[in-house]
Amino acid sequence: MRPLARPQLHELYYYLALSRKLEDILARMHREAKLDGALWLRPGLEAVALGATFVPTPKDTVSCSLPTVAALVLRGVRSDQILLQVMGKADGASRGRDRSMFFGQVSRGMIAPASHACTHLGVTAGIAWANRYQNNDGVSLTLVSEEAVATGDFHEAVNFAAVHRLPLVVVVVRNEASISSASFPNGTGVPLLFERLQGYGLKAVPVDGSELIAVIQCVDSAFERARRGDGPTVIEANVTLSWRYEFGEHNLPQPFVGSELGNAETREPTDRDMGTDPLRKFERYLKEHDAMTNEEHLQLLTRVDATLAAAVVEAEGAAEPTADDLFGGVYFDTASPVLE
Amino acid sequence: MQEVSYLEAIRQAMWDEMERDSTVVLLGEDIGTYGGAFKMTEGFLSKFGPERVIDTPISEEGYTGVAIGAAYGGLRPIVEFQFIDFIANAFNMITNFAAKSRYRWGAGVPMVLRGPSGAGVRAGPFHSQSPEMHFVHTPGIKVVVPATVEDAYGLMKAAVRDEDPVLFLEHKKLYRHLKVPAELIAKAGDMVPLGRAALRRSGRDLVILTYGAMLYPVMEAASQLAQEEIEAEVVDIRSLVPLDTDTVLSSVRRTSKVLIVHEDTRTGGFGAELAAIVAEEAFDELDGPIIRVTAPDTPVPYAAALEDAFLPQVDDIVAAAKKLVAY
Repeated sequence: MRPLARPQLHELYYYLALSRKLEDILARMHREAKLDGALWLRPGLEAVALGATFVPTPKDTVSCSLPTVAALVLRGVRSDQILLQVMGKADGASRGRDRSMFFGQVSRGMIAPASHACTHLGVTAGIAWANRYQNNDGVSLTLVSEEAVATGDFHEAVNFAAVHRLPLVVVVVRNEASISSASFPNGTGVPLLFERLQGYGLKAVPVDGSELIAVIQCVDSAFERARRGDGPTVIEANVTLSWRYEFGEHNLPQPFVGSELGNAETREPTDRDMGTDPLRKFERYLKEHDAMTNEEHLQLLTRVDATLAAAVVEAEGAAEPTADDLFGGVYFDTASPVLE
Repeated sequence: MQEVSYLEAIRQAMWDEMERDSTVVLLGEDIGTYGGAFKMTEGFLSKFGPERVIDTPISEEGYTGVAIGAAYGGLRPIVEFQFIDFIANAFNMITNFAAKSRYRWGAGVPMVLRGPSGAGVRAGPFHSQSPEMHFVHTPGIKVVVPATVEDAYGLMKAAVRDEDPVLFLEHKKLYRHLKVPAELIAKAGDMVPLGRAALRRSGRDLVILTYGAMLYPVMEAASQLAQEEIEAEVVDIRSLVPLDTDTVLSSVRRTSKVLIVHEDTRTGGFGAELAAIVAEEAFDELDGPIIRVTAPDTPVPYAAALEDAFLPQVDDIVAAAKKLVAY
């Protein structure tokens, strides 16, 4: 993989910061009762989601079941579009018919997941098959949460992909965020997933999910492998931090707002927290490598704020769906083929 | 005279569609090398190749998901469940992913889900089911049940070309028992549209609404009733979703008495839905109660004596018709 150019690095930082800030805004809106129902967020996953989705080209397909803004932005989804969707507005991607960040747009090669864990993985394996059948070199990238590895859907999908050597890249995100079903010993019988997954006859590797460049490099290698016809890769991305607290004046979002997890402990961020925050890590990386000056940093943050301010105004003023739209989209609108 | 069976008609329809459209592909267990448990897909692998005819692992949920993805990716998959009873394993993918896909985010899933359903062959609880209502009750899925060889051919072609997921329920007892002269389905391109019921017999004294393999005991019953000068109109619903209510209600208005016959179990069966529609839309036209003849609310039994007691018989239909006509 070629080294990233300065403008690319700045754009990555911009989107990292924007993803984090937009989730802040969503958390605030939820606390202000501007969003109905539960809201799930995953601050801290920005490097995994952004790094993984940096690699696919327009001919590739992306699906992410984790509720993170960072999985959407590099596919060209704007901040106002994300807000419209989460707010259930008429012009949201699902027109108010589905919640949260179950974002899908056929034109952008984005596949919306369902709430049922890991059901999207078989689907993206199917897209990988269709791509190979049609000789269009497309690869399917799928992000799944660690708890989904226990499902039958995960097993059937990766098994199928391995048997048929499909151009599929799976990123299993381990972020300690599952309620009680994640990782060892509740969700799996072994502590390291990638070692277990090698038993499927595919390639499985680990990566530090808080290191943006490392994630890009790892996913890029997997894509090259897929395009060569060498079959699927599963990447175990560890995000070794737990954001179950609320910073004092830093005003970072309380994660899992509205979810079943309930109370979050409140404490000051530790050095470990600061050392594993992907946003702070990438900022340090860029400055240490003279890839971003303080002034450029400030400009990027100012641009983030301006973009999000405009997006919030746009989304809050947008129309709600009406009952007239209740039946739309259940079936294809035109009639079935008739006798000739 | 060359004849074609119900099974051969389905096979021919899939073959014709795969020849016509290179995006039509097949997935299922043992469909390739083995040619399918009922030899439905014999010859397909050598003709169309291993990239279009996929022998899957035993993983109905997984390969149904793969089929959904293939549909997103521009293909038109036909998914086989070796016995339709095993569609239960894929219930989640069908009802929560495929059925809601267009509604949630505008992505249609042109896909056919097919397999042998129905009882009467001493196959027991897991090889004899009529699962239609699980999917009739799921908005976003279409459901068709061909009863004739011509419909098996024509509805399969229409199902393949439909832009929505279509559940195509074949009756295994009809596979090799039902045959017609080959020229009846020789005309290429004939399709039977979804959403159209078929009037199988005109009558005046009552209408019998039915679908699937029950058409045959119903027609036999109608013959017997005719000998006693009771003329039964028979409507073959054949498309449960979308439903041709116009044809149904037209027959109801013409005869004023409604008997519903289906092989599926009673509670929550399609007969209940039809009865509700008729009561809501044509109550003033009725001269008697809406009566159903169905299987009882039990799993399908294996032993011959039990299965014969389970399935609606000609005598049951005749008795119910006479009771209705007497009102």
